[in-house]
Amino acid sequence: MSLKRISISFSIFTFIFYLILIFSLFSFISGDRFLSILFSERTVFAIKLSITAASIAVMLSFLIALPAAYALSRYEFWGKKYIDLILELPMIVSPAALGAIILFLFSTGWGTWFQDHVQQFVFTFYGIILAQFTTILGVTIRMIKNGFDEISPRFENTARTLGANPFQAFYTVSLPLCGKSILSAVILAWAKAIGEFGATITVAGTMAMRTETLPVAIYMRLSVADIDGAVVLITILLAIGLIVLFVVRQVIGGNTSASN
Amino acid sequence: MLRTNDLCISAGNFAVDNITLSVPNGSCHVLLGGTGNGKTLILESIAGLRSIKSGQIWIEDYDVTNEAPENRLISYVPQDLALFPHLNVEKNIFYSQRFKKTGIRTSQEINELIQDLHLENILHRLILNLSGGERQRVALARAFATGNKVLLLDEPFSALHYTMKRALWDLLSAMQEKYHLSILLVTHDLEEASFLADHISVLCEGKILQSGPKEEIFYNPNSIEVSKITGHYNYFSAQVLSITSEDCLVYCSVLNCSFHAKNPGIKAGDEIVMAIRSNDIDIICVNSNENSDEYNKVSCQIKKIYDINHSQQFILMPDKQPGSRNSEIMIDIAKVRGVRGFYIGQKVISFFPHDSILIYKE
Repeated sequence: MSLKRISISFSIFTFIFYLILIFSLFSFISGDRFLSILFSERTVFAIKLSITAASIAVMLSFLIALPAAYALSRYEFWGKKYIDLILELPMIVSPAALGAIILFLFSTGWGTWFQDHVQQFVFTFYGIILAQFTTILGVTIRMIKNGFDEISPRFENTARTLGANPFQAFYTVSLPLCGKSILSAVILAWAKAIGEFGATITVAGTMAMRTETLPVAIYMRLSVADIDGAVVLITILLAIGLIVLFVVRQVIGGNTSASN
Repeated sequence: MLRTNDLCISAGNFAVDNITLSVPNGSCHVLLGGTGNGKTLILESIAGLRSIKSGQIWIEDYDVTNEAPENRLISYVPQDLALFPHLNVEKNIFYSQRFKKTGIRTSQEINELIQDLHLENILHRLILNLSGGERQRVALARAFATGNKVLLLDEPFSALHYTMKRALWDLLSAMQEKYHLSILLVTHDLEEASFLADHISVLCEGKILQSGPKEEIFYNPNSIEVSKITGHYNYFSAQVLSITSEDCLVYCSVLNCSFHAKNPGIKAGDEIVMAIRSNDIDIICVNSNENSDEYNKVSCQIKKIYDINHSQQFILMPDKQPGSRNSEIMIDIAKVRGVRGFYIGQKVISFFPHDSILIYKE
């Protein structure tokens, strides 16, 4: 058997494995039941909450990630290598552990004061945003930084000699050239935020119709053996994930994987 | 006019020291040297893209040393051209119009520029779809469109074939004349330097070895290093036999021949290196009644003949010192249709004109 056939067989196995997993979902539910759960008040709430929280978390992380990624890509400064290292934190530390760290933070004297006088995070909608923001910020910076790394600083330098100040050079040259990377980073960060579970449940808890994002809702339905409900929510998450991947690939226009 | 005064730049372990240059209005100054000698470093510093250790940069009477690149009014075309791939040709050319600066060209002037550079038919094309020559013209048009009087060019034509290069040299010269530009051009191409330069500075390991009008650089290099950068030379060790106020007589044991040359300030008995450009040596057929026992003439045999573009290169082996590589003589002769007919093994006499021999102390 040739190497080509062996390697292709393994890739086909992977495809079939995931396909079987996906289709196994539908053996548990009928079409009518699916629609009634899909449009139920609780499911719609979970979808709306997930989309709203993920969108706000992504917007906040983007506002920080864009300048931070640019600085890490373009400038040399003290502490750069440590910042670069810590970006991997959400990837190497379990989300539940990250959530626990946030909880511990709000249990300190300063954290308690902040919750009492400025904003309550634990077991609130804001807690969901904070948990998602924490897990996606590093990844978003990493992805946007990679985009800037691929663009030669010569473009900006040339723009400067053509009369653009640093902000104008960034806005008219670097940003459009990095546009695809930024857009795909934002979309993937949003998908990661939508599917975030560990940190969210640790910080915001499992309160039905209050902090019940889609992954939390799946957990809650499974814990009371509501298989039909869980299947519908899993299908929604799957659909969101696949649509996002499809859009990202269209944006990037190639075979670039999600990890890129 | 662009002037630099004692510019010192460092980049890691490499340093460029005491660069003093002057590029008058309407002239082209070429920085000539091999790769890794600091040419690009100098251009980037003048453009304001790299900080300098010390020195000053002047545009006319203004000290722009501490000005931001956008305020220096210096256009810079890097080696890779850095054309913006997300913009089409027209938007690349008009890019500087977004940031109104003093002296910027009007749209009408830029349209005239587009006509001059023959870009009118490709204005809506993306950069990715342009040929090498088209890209060069777009990069030049974008730089000219700023209205800046100083233009820095970093080996802009190095990736092009000769015909394209030659056409662009003409175009650049015409544009320089039309807009009265001060051009500082970096190149390692002797032909390009010879065609475009009014003034040349020879750069080696971050230092200017010689600076002057191009004729002086090409025909009177002040050191062996400069001669190696500015042409194909033959080098032979020799000893000074006698001198007069203007001339000297030297004996080259490798060629077993005596040569009359100009006296650069040496004395009898000095050990010297005799250098002569490969295209300054003439080659004479033996049967043409020439006497090889005269001064400046070496009897040889043709060892190899190479056809190089517009010239033929001969490697000659002197009769009296066969076999030694040090005694080989390299000669470049322009191809003249129907005149030459040399062949390998042929006996010839190589003639070293008195005025073309350069003498350097060892």
